[in-house]
Amino acid sequence: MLFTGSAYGTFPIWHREADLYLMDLETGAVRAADELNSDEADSYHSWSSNGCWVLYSSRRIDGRHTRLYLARFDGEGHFSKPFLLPQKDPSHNVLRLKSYNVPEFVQGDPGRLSKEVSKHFAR
Amino acid sequence: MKRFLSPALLFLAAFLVTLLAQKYTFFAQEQEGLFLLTPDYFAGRFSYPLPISGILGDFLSQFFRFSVYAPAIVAAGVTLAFLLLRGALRRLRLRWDRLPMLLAAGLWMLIAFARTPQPGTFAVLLCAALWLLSRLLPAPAGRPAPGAADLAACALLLAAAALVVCLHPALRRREVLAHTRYAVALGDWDRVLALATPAQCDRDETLIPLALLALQEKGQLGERMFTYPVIQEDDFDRCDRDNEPESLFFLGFLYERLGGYNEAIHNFYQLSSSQDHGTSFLVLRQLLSDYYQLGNYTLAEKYCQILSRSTLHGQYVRHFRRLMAEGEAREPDPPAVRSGMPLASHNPLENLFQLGSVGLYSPAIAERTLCTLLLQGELGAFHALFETVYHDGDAIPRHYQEALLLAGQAPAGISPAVRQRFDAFQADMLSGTAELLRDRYLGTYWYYYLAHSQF
Repeated sequence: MLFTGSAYGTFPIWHREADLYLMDLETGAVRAADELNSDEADSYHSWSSNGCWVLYSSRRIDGRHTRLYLARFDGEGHFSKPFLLPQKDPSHNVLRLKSYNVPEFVQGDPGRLSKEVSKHFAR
Repeated sequence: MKRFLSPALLFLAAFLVTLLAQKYTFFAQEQEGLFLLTPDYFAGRFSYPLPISGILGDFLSQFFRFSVYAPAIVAAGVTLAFLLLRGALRRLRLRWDRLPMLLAAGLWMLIAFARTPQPGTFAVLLCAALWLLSRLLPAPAGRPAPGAADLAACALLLAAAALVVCLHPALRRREVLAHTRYAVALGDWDRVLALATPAQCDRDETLIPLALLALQEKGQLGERMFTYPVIQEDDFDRCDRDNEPESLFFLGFLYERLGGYNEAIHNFYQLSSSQDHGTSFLVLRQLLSDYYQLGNYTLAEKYCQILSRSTLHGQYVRHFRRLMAEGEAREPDPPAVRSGMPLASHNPLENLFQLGSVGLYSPAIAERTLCTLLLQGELGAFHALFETVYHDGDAIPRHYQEALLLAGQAPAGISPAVRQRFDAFQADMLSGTAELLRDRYLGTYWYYYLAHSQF
């Protein structure tokens, strides 16, 4: 199980120290998911339905705006190096002045407005 | 030529009145506005109603940063609306100028009172649509010029509109506040104090923290603070109302002046959440400047990239890029780097102590701390800190003298006049009425302590 830990309070996405932690549900052992974490807030996350991918939000670029990162999970408790969600125009991640706060993997068509996005992922 | 008289009068009146009475109000619209040639900006605009007028308004408001452009744009907008309406009404065989002038004067009022340029641009676009529709009707014969009575009526309408814009209390208050904020952003503290006088602060309490910030920068807090209508600690530090836009504006500039750039960034960023586009030109400029001061050139460059997508920030961005290119060759200033720590406290004293603890201790921080203790009525703590900041022979500011006497202390340096007045105050306390104490001691620390403290 992946969860977000922060020093105190609620809304960990506002906490710079918020990090992701991985719990082994069989043993109860907990470790910081250091492969995913950064000096800025690493928070909301979502598993893919096959458990192979994790999608999460991180403020590592500027400490202010949340961007989405993907990492592969090997099923043995290890994550690959995370990568920033690819954009058609990479400058989007600099110029966009809004945050992606609650990422979710979805199955099927995410909607008419997101057809272009879904086409890229269908390939 | 007579048919050009009404529009010429309208342009001239709108230009001059806006220049004299609303220049800074429109500058504030630029500060709070945004126009970026980015997909993100346009997607945002098209997700709201009336996107075309919004985009046009945002584009035009960029020019309000320069003092003559705003009056010229406002005057051009209302004159264009007048001409369009006159053209449309002539197709309906209404030949008077006074009716389109009435509508144009109404549009001028709308623009003057609006918080954003969008209502004005929407109204002008509407006039253009009416004019286009009127083209479907047959054109009247000839181009009649307005008569003398018609011109007089137009002049009367213009005079009425000009008087409202010049004299309406709400517009006056907005202009003074906008002008003061402009002076704060410039760091022109003399101008801030000339605008935010004690009497003006009495009418508009949002000016008080800005005036006290100017006193801090002039080193006059201890001398003049209680001549302003300060009735609570929050008037000084805005910590209780730190989620209001006016407070966030003040806190951003306060921490910038104290060298706590990270806290300034935090407050400006919070300010952006209250603005229409989720950010604004003011916020973007301050973030760029504060990240530069912090020595974080990576993030300063990010805001350079964003601002370079607007129409009018080329020179501003080039200036910072040049500074950064020069700055990369030197070691960052250690206190500026250390001030990158976050100040998590809502307690102003705690924040001031934290700034001091990372090497940013300054006379301004010392004075602010002393004044906060005065506002809290902590006379013992005030005296203890006073003794570490002020030494024998230092001139003691007037309010500190008053506080020391109230605390039962009498160090050398207290003027005989203040001592004599304190004796009179003590006598009046025993026998005087509240009105008498107010009349005689308003503007002293004693009166604040007596009337407003809960100690």
